[in-house]
Amino acid sequence: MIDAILQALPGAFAPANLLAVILGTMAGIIVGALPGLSVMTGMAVLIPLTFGMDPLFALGMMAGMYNGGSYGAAIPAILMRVPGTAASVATVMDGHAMTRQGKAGYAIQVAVVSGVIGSVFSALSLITLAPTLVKISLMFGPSEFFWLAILGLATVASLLGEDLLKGLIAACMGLILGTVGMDMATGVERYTFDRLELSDGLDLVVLLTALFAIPPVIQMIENARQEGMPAELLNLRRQKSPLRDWKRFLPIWLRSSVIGIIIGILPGAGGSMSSYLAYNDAKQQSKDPDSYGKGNPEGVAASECGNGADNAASLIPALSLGIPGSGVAAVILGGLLVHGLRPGPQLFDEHADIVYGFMLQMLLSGLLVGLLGGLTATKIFGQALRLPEVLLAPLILLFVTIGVYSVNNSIFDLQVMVVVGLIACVVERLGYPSAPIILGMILGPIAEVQLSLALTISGGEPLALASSPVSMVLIALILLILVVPLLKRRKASAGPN
Amino acid sequence: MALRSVSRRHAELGFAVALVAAAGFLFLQAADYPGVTGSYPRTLSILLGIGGLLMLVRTLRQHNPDDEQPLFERPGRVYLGAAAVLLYIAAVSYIGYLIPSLVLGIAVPYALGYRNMRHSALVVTATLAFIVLVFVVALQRPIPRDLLDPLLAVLR
Repeated sequence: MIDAILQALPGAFAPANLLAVILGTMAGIIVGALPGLSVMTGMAVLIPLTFGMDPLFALGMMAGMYNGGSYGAAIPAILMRVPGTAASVATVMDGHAMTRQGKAGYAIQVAVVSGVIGSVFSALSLITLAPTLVKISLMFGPSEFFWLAILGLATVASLLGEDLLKGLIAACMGLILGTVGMDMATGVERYTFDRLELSDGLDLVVLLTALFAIPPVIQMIENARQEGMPAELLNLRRQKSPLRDWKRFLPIWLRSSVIGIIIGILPGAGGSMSSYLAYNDAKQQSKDPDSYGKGNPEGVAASECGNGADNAASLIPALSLGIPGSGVAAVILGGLLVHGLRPGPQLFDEHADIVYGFMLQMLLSGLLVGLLGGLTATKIFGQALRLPEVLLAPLILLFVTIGVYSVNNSIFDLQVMVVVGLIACVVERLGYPSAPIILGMILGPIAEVQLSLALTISGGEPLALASSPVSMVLIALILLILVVPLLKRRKASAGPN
Repeated sequence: MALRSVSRRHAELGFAVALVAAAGFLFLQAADYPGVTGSYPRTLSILLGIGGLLMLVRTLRQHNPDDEQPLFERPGRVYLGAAAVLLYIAAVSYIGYLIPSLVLGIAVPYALGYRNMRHSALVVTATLAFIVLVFVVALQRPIPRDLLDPLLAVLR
């Protein structure tokens, strides 16, 4: 592992790739800071724009976008009481109370330092744990990989949405979208309707953009907010550094980092859950829990540290097994595939320089948030918050159009993007999660090929799919993941009695 | 007359019916594919159909407090947004990227009541200049055939 890291260092720290991390982090802070835009939207805009570029340049921007966006969401949460993303809801409680007390500058500094500490611990866990998980996956054969793909789908379908049935339907839609194009085993075209553009299947970039960038544009048009953030809110005064109070914050940073990393690794559980759990833990451990929600900086520290610690950790199962730990990780998985990088043991074997380089970029971007998220930088990037949504919505469409068109020089791709994007607006409004659709599209072909291989090896005997201990464990996990939400729902509907 | 949005319940039912219909169509299409090529999509279309049916039955049986809530709070704006996106992509197909982008960036905010057109024009022009300089000139990324291609050729 050390050798692989040393080999990856020159690539990760090449000037162009360093610039990519810096640009991605800056873009991430802006995207995260804009309410209504999520890191997933930022990624969906970014992936087509970076298509065709050097993989480490593109991945560097994604790493920056992930960590930068995670912190950026804290800016409106603290200054405006509007969380940039769901993960910064816990930050609102104490962060905005501090703003009302004239301590906005200190709250921003606590958020930055805590986010950096969480992100750095998380990146270190990614660098150390992902290769270990890959070693385990080397024991897998076709049937195990088939069940692994199903496990990935089941977790994301069941845990990312609020409704299991809708999550499963979304996953099924993704699996069907994944069948479009030529069947590689037989050469027969499926669902192409004699369109040459569809013979290679639906483009992942187009689908990613349609699902994650078009619905926010329509939502912004519906909201039609004509006022940005008032300029005076960005008059931040430098106050004492939170590092001076390190003894007070250290236990919170350590516990929140551990919570964030564990939640990040658990497939489908990431995002807002880590910041909530870290916040609750800090409150429970505090000698003065009543001060939480009334402007206690420890609340901001716990929430932002937990949020940052979730980021890189959610990539541990994504890079090593192809199972994303969060919605953003699912989109990054799509971004990897766009650059021809298939997660799993082969990725670590054949593209060690890129995968370790990406992990180092996650670490680097975590640290960069400390520089780019300072008060002066926040004042500069915060200017984006002054832009009203009515102006922002068309601008996103401008970027998305140029990005999607340039992937295949195809107007057809733009048409697919718009049609799928508008359907996605309705689907999203009805509560169907989008991440399982994209994951179904990614994992579907893998599951089909592995199933076919496993059946060929076993001479067409379906029971052979469940014969190995690893397969049995995976099947048990799938059942557990699908049954637990049903039991919880039944328990909830039965009421307290 | 103000536009009304379909209720959440009706939208749920409509989407469930659409899912079942799509599943049926996909199953029939897959029936033409030989052997293993067809069995996988057939299985998936059956699963999608079952999912759609379960959704339909569940929606019919359950009554939630927000059933009669509209799917879109401001349907007029949603339709405006959808129409703008569709028209924009159609215009990009025929006219090119730059002029439709400029019009979109000014017309959509104006239609939504934002009257500071100088601000809109400034923001969209600056964004387009950034896109042209970075993606077209520096990175040599292609853009759709454009009426202003002669101008872009000079820049390149």
